[in-house]
Amino acid sequence: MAEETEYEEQEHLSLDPTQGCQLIGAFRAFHGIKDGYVVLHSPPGCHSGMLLLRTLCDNADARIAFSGIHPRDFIYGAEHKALIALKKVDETFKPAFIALLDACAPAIVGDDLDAVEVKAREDAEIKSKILYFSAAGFHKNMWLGYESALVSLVKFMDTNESLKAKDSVNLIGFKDDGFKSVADLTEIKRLLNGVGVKVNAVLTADEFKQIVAAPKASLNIVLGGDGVKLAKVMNKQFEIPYVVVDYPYGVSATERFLERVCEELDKEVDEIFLSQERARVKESVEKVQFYLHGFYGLSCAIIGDTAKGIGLAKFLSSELGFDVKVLALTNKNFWLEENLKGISGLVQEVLVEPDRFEMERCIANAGIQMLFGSTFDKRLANVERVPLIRFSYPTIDNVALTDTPYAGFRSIPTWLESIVNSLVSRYYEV
Amino acid sequence: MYEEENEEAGFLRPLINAYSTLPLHGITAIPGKISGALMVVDAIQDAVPLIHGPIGCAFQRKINPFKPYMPFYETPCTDMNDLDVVYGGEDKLSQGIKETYEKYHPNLIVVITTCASDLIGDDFKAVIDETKANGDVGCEVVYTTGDFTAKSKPVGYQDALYAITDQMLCNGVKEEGMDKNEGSVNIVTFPIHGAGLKVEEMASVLNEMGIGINKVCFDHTTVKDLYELPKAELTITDYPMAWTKLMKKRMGIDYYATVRLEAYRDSKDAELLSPYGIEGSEMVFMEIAKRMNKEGEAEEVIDRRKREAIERLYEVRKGLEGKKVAYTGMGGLHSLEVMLLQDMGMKASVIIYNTRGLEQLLSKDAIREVLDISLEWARKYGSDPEILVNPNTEEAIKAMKRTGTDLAVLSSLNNAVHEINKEGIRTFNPLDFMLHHQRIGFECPIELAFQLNDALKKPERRDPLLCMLEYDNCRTNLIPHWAKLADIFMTLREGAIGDTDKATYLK
Repeated sequence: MAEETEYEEQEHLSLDPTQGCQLIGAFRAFHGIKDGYVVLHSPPGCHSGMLLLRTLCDNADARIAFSGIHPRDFIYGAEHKALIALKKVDETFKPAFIALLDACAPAIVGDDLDAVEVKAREDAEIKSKILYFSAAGFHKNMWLGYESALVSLVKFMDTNESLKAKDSVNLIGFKDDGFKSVADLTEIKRLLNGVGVKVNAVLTADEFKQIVAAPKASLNIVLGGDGVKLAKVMNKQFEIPYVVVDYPYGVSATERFLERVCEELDKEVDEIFLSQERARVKESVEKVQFYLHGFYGLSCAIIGDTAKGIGLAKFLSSELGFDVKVLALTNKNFWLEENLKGISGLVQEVLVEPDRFEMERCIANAGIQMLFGSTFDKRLANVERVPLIRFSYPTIDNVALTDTPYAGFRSIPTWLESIVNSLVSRYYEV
Repeated sequence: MYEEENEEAGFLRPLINAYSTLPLHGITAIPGKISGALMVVDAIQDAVPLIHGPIGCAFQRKINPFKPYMPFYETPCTDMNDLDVVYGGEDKLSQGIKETYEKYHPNLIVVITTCASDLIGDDFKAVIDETKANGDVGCEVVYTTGDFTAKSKPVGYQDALYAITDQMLCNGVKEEGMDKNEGSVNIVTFPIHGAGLKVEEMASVLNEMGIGINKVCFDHTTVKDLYELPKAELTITDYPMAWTKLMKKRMGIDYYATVRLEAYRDSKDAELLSPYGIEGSEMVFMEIAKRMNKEGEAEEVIDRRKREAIERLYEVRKGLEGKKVAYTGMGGLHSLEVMLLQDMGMKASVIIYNTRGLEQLLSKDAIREVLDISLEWARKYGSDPEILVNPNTEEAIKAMKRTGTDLAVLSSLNNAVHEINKEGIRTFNPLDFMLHHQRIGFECPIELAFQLNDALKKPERRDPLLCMLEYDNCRTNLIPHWAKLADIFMTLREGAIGDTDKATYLK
């Protein structure tokens, strides 16, 4: 049994960050609108970085343009460039929705992008719905930017009460740029469908019209606490109740996920469905049972965001019997304190938004045999000579094309494959 | 040293190639100054960057746009927030320098400023001077803003090197007080290239000419190595660099860029743009010898090395002579087309000019000039090629078939190579050659000849999966979505929107 979890939050004047600024958080939220587009009112560096973040994990789906700000615009302003960029994007791609985000420079200079938004709305030639979101990186960090960006979508939501649909839910806090996000979403929808629940809208991995129709749902499901601010606003404005659930990693979390949703919707959980799913999981476990016995007690560290990192820590510790030495939460969310209660006793040390230098030193000192993290943790895994299983953001050095989710019941074979193969396939010579 | 001797070269090259056709640099995006500066810091083993800005600038820039397979793992920053933007970030910068030194114990901290810190007017120099004077850091600290080198590109890269030269190497050091490594040169290549691999032969030829190698950068370069750069008499770079000019001005150390863009502007001699191949390499070696007063010794060495190489080349290139080759006209820049004609004895059958994207960067006259140079090169070596300007794939294939083209030297970055293969025309990837093999020296053309011979024997690729995709008619390597991204980027990028647009907006 692990010792009582310590929760360390460090104060720095400088740090090597494990998360981005609010511009990145907002970008992640808006880019999830599948027929939408993001226009950055920024110098080229921000645009280049965001484009790379998208393109390296999905060569087909990058919907981002920039307004071409030049240093001379820092003196005279460049609102006109933002408007031209909106027009060009509207004309070229005909998106349903365009989010205009400003970066640090135009925010400091004082470009009036509210006025640009108004001008764009008044322009009859621009057909897309336009939203200006103040995203300068110095204001907030990534997760706060993500939360605020989701809330900013409320103004587009249809308030017609008569449209309410029974047993339909919205998924909030789902990020379409996460590793295996497509497979995860397919599995979550399959599971909900299996217990008679329909997904109305995914915020954000859906078309704009679905975001608009979000108030139709009977319940908002908040994954791991990401997006709870939006759920609260929708509760107040549209009287939609919400439930915060763990990201469904593993059998228990998946069962609990379905139970909580059914409970909120006043439905009976379909036990036949659950038992069929359990039977399939059992088959997979049986096929690698000796490896699992062998790996029992394997020490590991997890580097991920609050929503997914805590879900994974519970799965690895409770279901696979791993010894989670360090859980480094790259970013908080508004449900952090609640979430931390759930892992009390399961994890030896928890770091919240740590400095990367100190986090790596802590993990190195902990002595681990496996690391769960992102592309940015590749060097650490190499230095520690342990396998790295990628699951958190950003994963830009692995592609995910197959329907093998990390979430839900069907995630179990995927996790077992990844974990067992990462160890037994390694070359070793005495 | 970099790849050849690296046991992982087998996977490293395909890894590098995996990212070589991303349509990003100058096509749909331009990396900002921070990335360029990080390239420099990353190439100095005992240096650490400190990004003076919000966390986004440090987090996002971990992705290395020049080498996406190799993130910048260390990007500490000062975590600038809105209070700092109002009241100034100087205290945080000072504290950040101290913390960075305490954590990493580097020999050099390079402070990289960002939009936020640039705009609010933090006095970087004063903060650094004061922090150093307080004795809080035991290493060099310099800062780069992107403003030191005006329009020299890549801005961040040029500026960071300039900053190191200005604030560290030439700061208070007198030319006469400097120890000299007599008769030696520095060889400096862009850190994206494998410096060790690419200068090995060059260093060997120079040594034989009696010219010593003071330093090769960037190849496991340390701060100590940088301090020793001024000991040389000449610094050789691949492209013109602002920092070498500064070192000449301050310390009298001459510089020489192998691609002589500045000399070309005056003379219009296209050979100055082509430092590779037998003739190009001879020109480079002779120029270095001239500057080092070693012309006498050099002549014999160069003649002998050249003769030996030509003898071997003529053996190897037997299957290539007279073969018809299609390629992209680049005016000799990068020299591959010159090597095909001059060293391989191949005949130009089709020259493809892709001018899309260039229109925003070059004047019509300059584009014409590039095209003319390519054509003149071809004619000089007895070819009368078909010229295609911005053809679609079908037109390009038709021309290649019509002219009986044996090999298309075309990159997937600009051409639908898979479609050409499907039509039974073999291809050679010039990007792969440029990234991994091209270098100054007489051995390089021999290696090229081997590779071209291999390419001519490659089995046909009848059904590439890539042919399943629909491509843009103009940007033939891109699906329509990416072609639109490229078009819109070229429309909106800096300078493309003028004052007229602003006046219209203000109405």
